Amino acid sequence: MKTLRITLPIGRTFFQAALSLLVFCAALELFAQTPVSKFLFPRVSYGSSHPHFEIQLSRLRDRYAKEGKIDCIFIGNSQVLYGIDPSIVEQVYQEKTGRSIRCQNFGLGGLTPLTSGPLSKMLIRNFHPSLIVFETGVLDYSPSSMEGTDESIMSSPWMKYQLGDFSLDGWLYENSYAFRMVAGIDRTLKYIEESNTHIEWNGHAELSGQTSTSIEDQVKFFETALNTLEITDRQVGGLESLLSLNSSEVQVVIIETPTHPTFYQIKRRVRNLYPTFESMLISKTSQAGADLWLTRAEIEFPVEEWHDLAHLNEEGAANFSRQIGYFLSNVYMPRQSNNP
Amino acid sequence: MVQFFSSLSITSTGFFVFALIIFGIYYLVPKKAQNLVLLLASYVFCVTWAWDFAAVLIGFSVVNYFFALKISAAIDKSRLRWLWVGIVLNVGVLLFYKYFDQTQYFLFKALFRLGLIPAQMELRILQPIGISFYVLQAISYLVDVHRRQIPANRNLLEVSLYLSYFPKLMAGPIERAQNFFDQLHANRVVDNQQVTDSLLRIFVGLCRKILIADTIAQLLPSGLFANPLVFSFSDLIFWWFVSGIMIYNDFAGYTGIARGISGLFGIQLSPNFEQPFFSTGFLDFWNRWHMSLSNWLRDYVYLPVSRAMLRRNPSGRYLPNLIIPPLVTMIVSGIWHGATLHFILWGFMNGLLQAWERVDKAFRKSAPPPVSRWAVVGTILVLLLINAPFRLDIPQTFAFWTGIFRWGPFQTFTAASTLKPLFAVALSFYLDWKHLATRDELGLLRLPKRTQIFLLAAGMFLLFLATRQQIAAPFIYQEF
Repeated sequence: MKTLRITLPIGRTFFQAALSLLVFCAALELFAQTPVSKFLFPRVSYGSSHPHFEIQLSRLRDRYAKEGKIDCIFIGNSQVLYGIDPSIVEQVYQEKTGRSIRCQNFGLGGLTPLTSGPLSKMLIRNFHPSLIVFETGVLDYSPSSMEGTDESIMSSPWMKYQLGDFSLDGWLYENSYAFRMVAGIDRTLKYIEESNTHIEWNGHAELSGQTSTSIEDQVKFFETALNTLEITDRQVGGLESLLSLNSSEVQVVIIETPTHPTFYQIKRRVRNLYPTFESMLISKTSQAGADLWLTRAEIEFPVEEWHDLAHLNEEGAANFSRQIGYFLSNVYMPRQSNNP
Repeated sequence: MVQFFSSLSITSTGFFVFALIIFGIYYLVPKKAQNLVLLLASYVFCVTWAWDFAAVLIGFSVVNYFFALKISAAIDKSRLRWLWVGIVLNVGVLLFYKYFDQTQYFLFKALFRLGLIPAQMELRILQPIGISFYVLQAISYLVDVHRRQIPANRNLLEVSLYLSYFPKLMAGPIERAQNFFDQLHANRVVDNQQVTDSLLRIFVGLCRKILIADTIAQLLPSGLFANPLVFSFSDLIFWWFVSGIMIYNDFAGYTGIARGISGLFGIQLSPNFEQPFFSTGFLDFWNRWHMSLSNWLRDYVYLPVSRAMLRRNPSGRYLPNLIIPPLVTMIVSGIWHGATLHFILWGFMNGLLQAWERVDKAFRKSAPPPVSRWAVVGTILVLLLINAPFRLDIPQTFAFWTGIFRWGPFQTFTAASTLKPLFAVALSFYLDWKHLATRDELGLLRLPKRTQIFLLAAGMFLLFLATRQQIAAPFIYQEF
């Protein structure tokens, strides 16, 4: 005797619900592509838990869609985010060479060399820049540098999808406006603190004036990183992965992060390690045929141009961006063929 | 592939694929082989966690099978002797797996000092999944056989399946042998209605677990349990209430899925919850919360202790008769959750509340006043307060109690941060209210067709999104 006695029709309500859901999703997708939805829900998400990654990606996507061409992308940690104003770089570059370029800041708080390679691959694949500028400093190579931040970017389904690891989530983040919009709403509800950093359309965020936190307290914040400072193979490997992208199509330039003089004054370990760091950069960039700018030897930022021990304020950023514009005018020639 | 089917959690895609495969096989084989299919499936389920878990379960089933036969065959005092040996063995196995890891250091240190072992050792022994639950079922089976309420089952397959049946293996419900064996013997026919009911139970269970419990779990401020004094009193009250809803839905969600899956095989598992957040008193709460455990404790701890007390003094107003049984029962419940001070404190306080209600009832001269809404609110507030040691250790518990009575500024109450938890709480109350209003746990099936379609579509949409956005948290009761 049969113990399963199912007679048709069964599950009509379920199928009707599934059908309604499909219709609803299609309508939502259409709505998400309209300007109204972009106005009502400006925040979209790509599924990472990094506070800046998603905003930067949205800014870059918007600009790329609007202007159709990005020549140069600056990557690095929050020192890039706050310290490089692409508009000033573009302006100085044009003044010096007579050629106009479009630059975008893609600075992400806590980014280390480890993630710079895969991140650049993704940027090159999607936005076809002919120049990647990576700003890096001696602190990035410390074992206590923020690998959790790297993880938050690399574990995002969209990022994995970009690097060839297929998943339904990755596909949806890439192809569905509605999915990104709904994920963005969810993200807004979860991470309200993200609104604290205002990132401009060109990916730059400004820090004005100087922090009220004392130098001593700021030094304490970096204590662990400074006391365990060394140049780890893992991070150097990350840098090598980035430099391997240097080709006739894409130029990779390394710029040394400006360092607050206090670091050198108070920490012998930093002073002692600096020559090793410098020679490592020289060796790696020359092996890859990439350009390198060691800023410490050339620029000194007065204390008034620092917001805190790690970040330049708006004046410092303007100064540094001008210098970068001059530097790029000597080493970079924009290419036309890279954009589709 | 191996990873897909490893450590199957009841909300994982792997588990549903596994259940679907078993469902197919179950209805393809002859009726006589169906129980065997379920038993083998249960062992495979266990093996997805660890081989040795299945080995422990098989050994455990065989031992209890023989103990039941021995109890049944013995006469006079030796029946009781066999029963006690069986109980001690079961409890011993439970204690060994639950606490060996924490005590082995001291044990091996003592053995080393006595010269019985050459060096300090460390063994890695994992607690088999669901052991706390199947030990209780084994004990109840032995006691029922001893009481002659049921005959000892001579079919090893049925006894093994009773203890290891995979939908209830991880966290119950704690079934009674009679109820389970009757269903194994019966002609289990699954028709359209049963499939619909089961699928609805699974769907509601998933909503409870993923949309309510996991959503709240993701949003609970880190450090809320570890360091309560960092938070303002308003945060503590809000998040503590929300975390109570989380625990409830986590477990009710699990039970719903387990009952739904089991229903597809024609085996009805017992309900575990009956809207506990609508309880009108402490006794009422324990009749609605984790009912299969409460009933077990009532039948195998409370009633025996109560009878023993009444034999000494049969007065219904004799205070020890009113106080000691609930106190002992709830302390046993606490120890079952974990033999740590905070669980014992938790059991003691719940026992006291129950004792207080019993004393009040026994000495009340007038009829009790009609139940008001405030009784419901008051019950929940007091329970949330005294249930702090369920999640916190003793210092954290006292810090929590200090924190909620420390008046200070309101914090983090922004629309954004509270919208999702409030939605989760509202959904939990809606599901309970629907059950209460229709007096039917499947009351959603009584709604108009269009409403059903809307709720089903909305639920599927939200479940899809939630499973994309958040990581599934392990079931809280799985750890017991």
